[in-house]
Amino acid sequence: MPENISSASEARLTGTRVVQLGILAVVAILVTSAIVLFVNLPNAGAFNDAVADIFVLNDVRDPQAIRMLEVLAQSGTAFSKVLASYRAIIFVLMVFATALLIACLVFLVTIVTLNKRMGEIERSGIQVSSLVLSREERVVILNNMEFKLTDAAMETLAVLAEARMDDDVLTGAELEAMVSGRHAADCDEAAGATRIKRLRDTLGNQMVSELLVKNIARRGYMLAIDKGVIKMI
Amino acid sequence: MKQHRFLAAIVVATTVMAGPLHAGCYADYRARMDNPLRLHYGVVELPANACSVAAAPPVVSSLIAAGGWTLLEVVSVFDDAGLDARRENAGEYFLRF
Repeated sequence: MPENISSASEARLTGTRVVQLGILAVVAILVTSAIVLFVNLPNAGAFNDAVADIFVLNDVRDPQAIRMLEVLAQSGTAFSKVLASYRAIIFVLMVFATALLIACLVFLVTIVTLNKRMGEIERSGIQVSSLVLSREERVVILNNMEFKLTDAAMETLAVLAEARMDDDVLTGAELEAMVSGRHAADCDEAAGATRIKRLRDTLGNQMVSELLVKNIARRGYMLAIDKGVIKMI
Repeated sequence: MKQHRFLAAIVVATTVMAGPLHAGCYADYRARMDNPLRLHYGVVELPANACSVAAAPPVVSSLIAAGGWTLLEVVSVFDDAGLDARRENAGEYFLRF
């Protein structure tokens, strides 16, 4: 089923594109609404024009009444200054709204991407995020799980870890040489393979009992997994 | 001599017939001035060739522009008979421009 195949890096790539498009859309919408806001807000002369209309439409002729209309227009002009400050406040709020929307979008896409990656990780089984070796206590801590190893297995794992840190690949003979301190030419390939096998056995055994087949003291054994994930074919 | 009397008759007739046309033509109007808004109602005298509501606005506009005013509307056009009724309302803008 090829349509089910996806990779975390691919998801991240589409995620970034969605973020860019989304941010562009948000900015475009808010710029448009800001323009509409500023265009539709009445300008400072709107009150004066309205008063002039009243003057014409009501056939006002009395000088006293005209004087009253002028006073009315002055109070309107005073209010239009308030309106200008409202406009500034509205604009600041719009900028805040833009910032919040962009932040929301970024977080949303981050969450979606993280969820996808979580899914990948869950499906790929155990993912080692930390490996701590303690030679004195003969303990290896894998993620948060502690495993006890024999001296020999501990040596093997330590050698493998050092080789990994140098990006080296060891043959069985080289492994045996490093553990025993002899020359690689004198060592047997099979001896190294045996060490690997023993390490796998002890570590694998403990790991499976930790992760899958649990032993509950004085009661018995059970699978340490969720009921819902089991399917019989 | 006879011709003289005929000409004189024509002049008299023309004067008599044209008399009412020269009786004076006036318009009342409304105007505004911005910053701060000021309004007034006033009366101006119109030349005979612009003696109608349709023809008056450009003339009135140019007259009151001398005082910095902008014309809002020409209310009506009338002759001498209508002057007194509007004198009080027009106040200081009665035939000012």
